[in-house]
Amino acid sequence: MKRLAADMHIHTVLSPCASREMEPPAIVREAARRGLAVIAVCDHNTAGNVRAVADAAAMIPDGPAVIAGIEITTVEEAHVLGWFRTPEDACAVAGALNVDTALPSAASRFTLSETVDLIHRHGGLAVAAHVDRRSFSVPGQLGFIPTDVPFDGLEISAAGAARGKAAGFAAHGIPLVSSSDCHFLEDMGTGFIVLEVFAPTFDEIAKALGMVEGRGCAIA
Amino acid sequence: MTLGNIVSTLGLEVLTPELSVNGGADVEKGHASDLLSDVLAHAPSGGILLTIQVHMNVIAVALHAGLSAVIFTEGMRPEELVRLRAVQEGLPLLATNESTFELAGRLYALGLRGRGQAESE
Repeated sequence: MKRLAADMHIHTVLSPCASREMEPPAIVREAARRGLAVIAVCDHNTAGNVRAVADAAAMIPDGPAVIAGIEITTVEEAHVLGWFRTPEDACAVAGALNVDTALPSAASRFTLSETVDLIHRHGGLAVAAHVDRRSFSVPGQLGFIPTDVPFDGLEISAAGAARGKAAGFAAHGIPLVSSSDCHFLEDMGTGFIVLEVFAPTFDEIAKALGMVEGRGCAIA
Repeated sequence: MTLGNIVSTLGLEVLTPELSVNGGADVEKGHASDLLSDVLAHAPSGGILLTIQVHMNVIAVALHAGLSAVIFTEGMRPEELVRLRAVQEGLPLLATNESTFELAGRLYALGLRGRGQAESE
């Protein structure tokens, strides 16, 4: 079993709010420099850069394992992360969302429940993003976290985790993670989780989130 | 002004005909917001909420905040499950195709008021 640092919410230049420096080669170099063994690429409503980041990571020594992801804006304007086994799964979800490419971070037409269902139907894990923040979070938009939506995780922002906000979300009984949500290289790894897994793969991460078969996951 | 008077004066659509909009206390306050965390924190008790948010949580939040009705603006309509829950909880749901801004203006002209000035954060 290995203990691996993972930052599971990273934007690239495909997100309009991200810095232009967030190009695939720069992202994987920075991840390697910071000792991140796993990163998940989660652009707004698209997975178009996942493959490029994975390719870039394969070309350098100590390049991180790259998990395919997406950050979906639901019709309620809540952000939900999807993590997937393959880039194709993530791209299929992005295709189903069909958000106007001129406004990539705009709301999709999928409700929160439909979004989580869409992620699950493509074999993914659904994580409510930055639940401790007021903007674009499930509690911010909807007042509280609905109990009938089967989230696989709740993400605490890096700033929130540093201020001890994770404890307040433990009562939901949903695995907690923290990630940087970085839009700039300098913020990468400011929030991360420590995975106890056999390998940096999607299936191992899924087990770690569920704390099954000896795997584990903790906010760093 | 009673909710029934507001409905008839402004020509609002009643989504919960199972519930009476007549009787009950006069409505004096209102709040307009699509962020339910803001509604929880700031909507005045006994008031009505104007929103385009149609998620099931609107019902729970409105009840928690002690609101007397919810008006969905801009032609937004909730799913049947949401409507049924409101009926079950006795919360009248109304709707209009007008914008939130227009409807808030009309309610203000009828004498309803907001919660007053917010403290700067």
